[in-house]
Amino acid sequence: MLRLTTEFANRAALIDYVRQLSGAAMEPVSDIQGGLTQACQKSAALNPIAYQRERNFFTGSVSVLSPYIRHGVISPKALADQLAERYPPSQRAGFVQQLAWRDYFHRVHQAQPERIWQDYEPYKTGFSAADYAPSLPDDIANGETGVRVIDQMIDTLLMRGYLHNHARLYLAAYVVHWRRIQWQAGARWFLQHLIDGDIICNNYSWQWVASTFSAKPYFFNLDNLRHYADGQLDCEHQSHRIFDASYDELSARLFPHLTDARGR
Amino acid sequence: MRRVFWLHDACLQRPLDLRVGDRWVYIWDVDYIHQQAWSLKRQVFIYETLCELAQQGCEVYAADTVVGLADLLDEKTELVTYAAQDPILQVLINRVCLAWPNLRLQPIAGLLNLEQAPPLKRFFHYWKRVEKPLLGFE
Repeated sequence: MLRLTTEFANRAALIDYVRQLSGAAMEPVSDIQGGLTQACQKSAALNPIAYQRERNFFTGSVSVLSPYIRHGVISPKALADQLAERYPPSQRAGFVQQLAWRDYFHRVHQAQPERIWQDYEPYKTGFSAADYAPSLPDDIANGETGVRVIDQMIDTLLMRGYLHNHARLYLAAYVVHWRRIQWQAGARWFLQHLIDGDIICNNYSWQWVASTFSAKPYFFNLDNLRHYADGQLDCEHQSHRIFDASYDELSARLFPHLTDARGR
Repeated sequence: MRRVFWLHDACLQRPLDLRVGDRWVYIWDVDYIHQQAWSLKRQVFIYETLCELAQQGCEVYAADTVVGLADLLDEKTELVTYAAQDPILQVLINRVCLAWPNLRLQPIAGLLNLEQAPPLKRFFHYWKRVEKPLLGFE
């Protein structure tokens, strides 16, 4: 059995070694580096007060700890305990609630693990599962949809392997509701690229957007995107007309078979 | 009894109860990685983590996992690993378990232990049940 090299002159040498090991294609590598040292630096820098206030904004103070949690480098419990030593419940509640989402999805999965790729419930969009395409089109996979903000978010996914949570929701909503593609196709694509890709959190989050694990579909409009992108996306491009409407108008366009008002 | 801790991609950390004479290993299994369809980005993240663990004594090999573990184990060795929920990883753990029925599967600590299972219909049902114990109100 071959013992592998674990010391390298620099990161480029490590990347080249890994690429040769698994025969991976040449592709970009994330700026987010693995290892406990990085995880400890990020957890030490975590400010749950700022997180609670800003986490929905692309420029907000998010932790980027999810890749380390996914791979067991640090545990959610250790993080929660660490915060409990330094902050009162009201100041850490927002971050702890995000840890709880992960725990929640894992418990849901544990109860019925065989359903990980199945619709948990029917779509609440007025469409049936058969109305959604089963595979991801190349223009989405390659970030060539022609919708500027969508392509910008896909570029980040492909280049960095990490997306702000709000960007994940926007992309998932675009794939499922604007393009009417099964959530499973999008979920597989995310798992391939996200360095924090956890099949359970990923799949149930896609289902939450799709409405197969929520009471209503998640979608967004241009005002919402502009607000939370906070200057990080080119929101003024003409290709964004598909998002530029009120929620009622968008709902009528995206879910024409529904008769009652829907939320986001 | 000598122990070998087999680390997988859901438990990339030094085993807490490591004793003198124990070994801890990660096996870079290309077939498994291809089954997971991980991009180079994900592979590099994992490998960087392994490089740090190797500085603390973790051994990193390339092999089919079951074949590789066979090289490291004998009848005087106990094999230990950690439970995982990822279905592809579970298949791999099951393969290892078939080869070593005495594989000791340790649970990974959850966010909180509850005597009664919380309701799971929707997140807000669950949150109502876990908020207080999780934030230390009780």
